[in-house]
Amino acid sequence: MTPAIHVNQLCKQFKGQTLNAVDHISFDIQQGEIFGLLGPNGAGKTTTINMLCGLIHMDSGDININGYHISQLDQIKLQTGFVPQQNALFPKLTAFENLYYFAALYNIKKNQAIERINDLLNYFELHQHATKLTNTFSGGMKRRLNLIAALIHNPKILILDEPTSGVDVQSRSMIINYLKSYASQGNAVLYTSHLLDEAQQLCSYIGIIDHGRMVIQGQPEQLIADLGNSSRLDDLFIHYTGYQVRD
Amino acid sequence: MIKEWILLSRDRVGLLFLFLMPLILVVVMALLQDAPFKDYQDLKFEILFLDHDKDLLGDQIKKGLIANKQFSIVDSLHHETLTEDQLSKKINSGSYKIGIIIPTQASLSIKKIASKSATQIMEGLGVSIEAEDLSKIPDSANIELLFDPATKQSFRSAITYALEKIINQSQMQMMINYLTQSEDTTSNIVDVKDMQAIRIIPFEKDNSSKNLTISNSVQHNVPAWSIFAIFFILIPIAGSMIEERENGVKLRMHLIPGHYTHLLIGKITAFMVVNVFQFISMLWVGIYLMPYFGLPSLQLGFIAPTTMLLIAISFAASSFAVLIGNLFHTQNQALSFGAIIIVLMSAIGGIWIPVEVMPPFLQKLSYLSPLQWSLNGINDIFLRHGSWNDVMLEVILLMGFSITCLIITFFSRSKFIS
Repeated sequence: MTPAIHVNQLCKQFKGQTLNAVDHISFDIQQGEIFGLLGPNGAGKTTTINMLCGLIHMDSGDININGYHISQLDQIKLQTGFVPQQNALFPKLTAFENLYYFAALYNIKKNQAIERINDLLNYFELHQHATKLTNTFSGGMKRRLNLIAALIHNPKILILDEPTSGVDVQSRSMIINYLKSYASQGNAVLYTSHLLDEAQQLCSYIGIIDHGRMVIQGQPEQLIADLGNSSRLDDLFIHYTGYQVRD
Repeated sequence: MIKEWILLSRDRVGLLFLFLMPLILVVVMALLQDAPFKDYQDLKFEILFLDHDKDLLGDQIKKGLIANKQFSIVDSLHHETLTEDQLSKKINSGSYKIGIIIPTQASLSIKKIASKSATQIMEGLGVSIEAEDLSKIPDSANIELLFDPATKQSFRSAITYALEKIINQSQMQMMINYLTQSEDTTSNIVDVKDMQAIRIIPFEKDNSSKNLTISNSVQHNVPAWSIFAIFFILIPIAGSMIEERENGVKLRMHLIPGHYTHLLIGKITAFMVVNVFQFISMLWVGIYLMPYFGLPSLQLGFIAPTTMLLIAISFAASSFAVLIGNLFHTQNQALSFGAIIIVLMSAIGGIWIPVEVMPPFLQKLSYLSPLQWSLNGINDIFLRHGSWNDVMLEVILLMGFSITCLIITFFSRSKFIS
């Protein structure tokens, strides 16, 4: 079966840097899988994600998303929803206006857009706040809306960059449950986070990246079992990345 | 486009300033510059007049100045006769703009010249005349003109020319009186004005000039500062672009299929509509509000070419704003640079002072200013009653400028979005 995301020997070096930010990374994400891309600060997670979304050019390697090559960027953008770490919302538009604007950019017809927006706002319990300006929202509300904005065009693949950082417990629980439900429908999820307990709970597959290289990847339970002396993803992480603080 | 209007409408204070500040600017500038624009004849100057000669020349010059109606004579201060020291101090302090000092024996110098001329003429006719002995009188006398140091050279030249005309006329009259042996200063046997064979009159066959609108404070300042205000749309456009970059919205828009340029065109179109309303409101002020301030009402030209030119001006302003919003990373950078560039382009573009009075280097530089093209186009329509053909060059230049800005924007888009 064609993987939802296929990455092969991906490389990226920024100008003025001697080391590769991303150094020959390869991984596949299947339909229905939640893949956790984990790593310390500056490991290359965000750079990898940016290349997958077409935000920056790769130096070498191959990316295929749902059968489309990275050069077919418009098709890839239609297949993919990206949830950035920042809450990428217009603060002076209401929740509904934000979503309607993004839906219009995806050329979603008016009635379909309204139905989709209402469904998602209902699911994430934001319906009663639909007509409020987003700059009045709490952090958790903004993160949920941020996620909805990435789902508005019904993508098959969701890429999330630390979607639950700084979020309250209830909102985090809601997001995690949604992602599980989303994957169970045959969609693929690529997820990065520093919250390893959450990743352990959520991900069916993980890859740990450090200094631009994929140091280990596989099913978290298997990797932890292989380590032997622990049952926690934190220990696995520290084992492969060390205790040194990254700036 | 609708998104931009919604965002604008939510910033009511910002929207108010977007319209109110240009209106205030236009009214204030028109009032400030009303005096410089008035006809020369509407202005009066007081002249400190010190006559050491106390003879015919001083009287003639005084009469000539008074008859001119532009000048009023001040020959005493606090009911005391003016002294040279007082005159000099008053002029240098700026209390008075002009001072004249007639030297002693000035009339006698003229008499000497007239006597010499008469003797030569009569000897040429074979008649010898007995001339008065004026050997101890100097051949010439210098009338001193003093100006306030703050006065501009153009003002000095204009006043000097006017005074020279009066002085020369007075001299000529005195010489003729001497030659005609007339001592009566109240009436002239031969009036020098009757001897003027050549006069200057307006060109009578110029039909096109009959339809020209005279430039005045309102006619210059309303269009000029309206154009200035249109280009200041840079503030909301560049500001919103940088804000969108900072809050991550620009990142999201790069993830959506389609060209980011389409989004920029929507933004430009939205603000062009704002520009149109700004311009109309300023024209309205020029036509209906200015008379309440004692200023003339604005005269318009043909509406269709005005509309075409306005669209070109607005497109240029918005495109430039988009370029600035794209090139700079922070609001401080963009707004500081953008605002000052607009001020510079308006300064060299003739918004503040006419291009004709600038140094040659700046006159050449003014050809590069889109504000100069805009003002020139407006003047072609409003002052010279031009039509489509007359503003086509300015429209082409403005459209070319807009397209250049958009091309640079397209190619300079950041490839890395963090």
